[in-house]
Amino acid sequence: MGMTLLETVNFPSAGSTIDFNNITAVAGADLKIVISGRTDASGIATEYMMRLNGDSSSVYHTTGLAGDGGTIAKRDVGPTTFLENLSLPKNGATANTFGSAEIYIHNFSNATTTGITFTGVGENNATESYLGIASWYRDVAEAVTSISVFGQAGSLMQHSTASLYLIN
Amino acid sequence: MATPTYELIHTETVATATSSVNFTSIPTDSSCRDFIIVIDGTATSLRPVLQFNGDTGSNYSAVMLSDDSPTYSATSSGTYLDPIPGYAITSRFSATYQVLGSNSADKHKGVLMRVNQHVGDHVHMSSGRWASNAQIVSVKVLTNNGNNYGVGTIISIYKIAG
Repeated sequence: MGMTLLETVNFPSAGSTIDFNNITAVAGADLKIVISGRTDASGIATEYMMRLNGDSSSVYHTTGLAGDGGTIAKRDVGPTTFLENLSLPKNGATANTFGSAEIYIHNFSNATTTGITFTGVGENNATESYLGIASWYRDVAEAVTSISVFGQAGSLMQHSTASLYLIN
Repeated sequence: MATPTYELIHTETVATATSSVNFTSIPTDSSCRDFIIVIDGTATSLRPVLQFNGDTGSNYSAVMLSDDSPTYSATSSGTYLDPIPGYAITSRFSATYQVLGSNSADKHKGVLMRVNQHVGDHVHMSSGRWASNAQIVSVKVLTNNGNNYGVGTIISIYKIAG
């Protein structure tokens, strides 16, 4: 009982997605993913994206806020084929900086729709630096057994990491 | 030995629709520097609010950032800690509250809060304060208007050592 590390994914070289598969059901428990990431695309920042259970159908809803260092914008989209929100640095951000994000999946083993809390902050030694919060929601009544996280643009770069924790 | 984190101290699944759940015997020793409340559930029209140590006085304040417009709002001298002043949960939602320094006996208690209205399409981030130096020994999860949490709503409390 408590917060237990289930798996850490490291990227010794660039990779396209973070995948956690075959997640064992635990009644009433939550999952927490902590990510340190950066993509090799050009530019300053892109979206974190996530799918559950390999499902790429239009069942995902995102409601979020994102700031870019100068303005704040609302994001309200869905149903779409992925969950999304800004704050993942691209390769145009200051060298060696990685964004940090936390994804909290509530009550993942219940055969109900899935509610998720996203919090992310980018890194860039300039005014243009992104942060975002979001309410994510998958409108399918089933337990979560696998998770895939990826960037909208580019591949996750070497030294990116992601850890999956069980909270119960 | 690693310091334990997120150690579950209470959890309750709502079996009959109810407007409040009271958790007592919150530890005040070093095993519980902070505690985190996590709610995942349903409601028809309410705000998920808190009271500590049975305090119903005007000792709670909060500031909130919401995606709606976007909006910044604040409450002060409330009789409960309200993470989403002016809003109402109308369906599926999740909420987290991190109560900082809950075992402290010499300062007011800060609380970081997030509320997601998954179907109502809103996200809110807020911080609050309970104006009391008392160590927290109990927390009541209630609603602002007496409306009920839906059957199946899960409310859990985890402690973090410090």
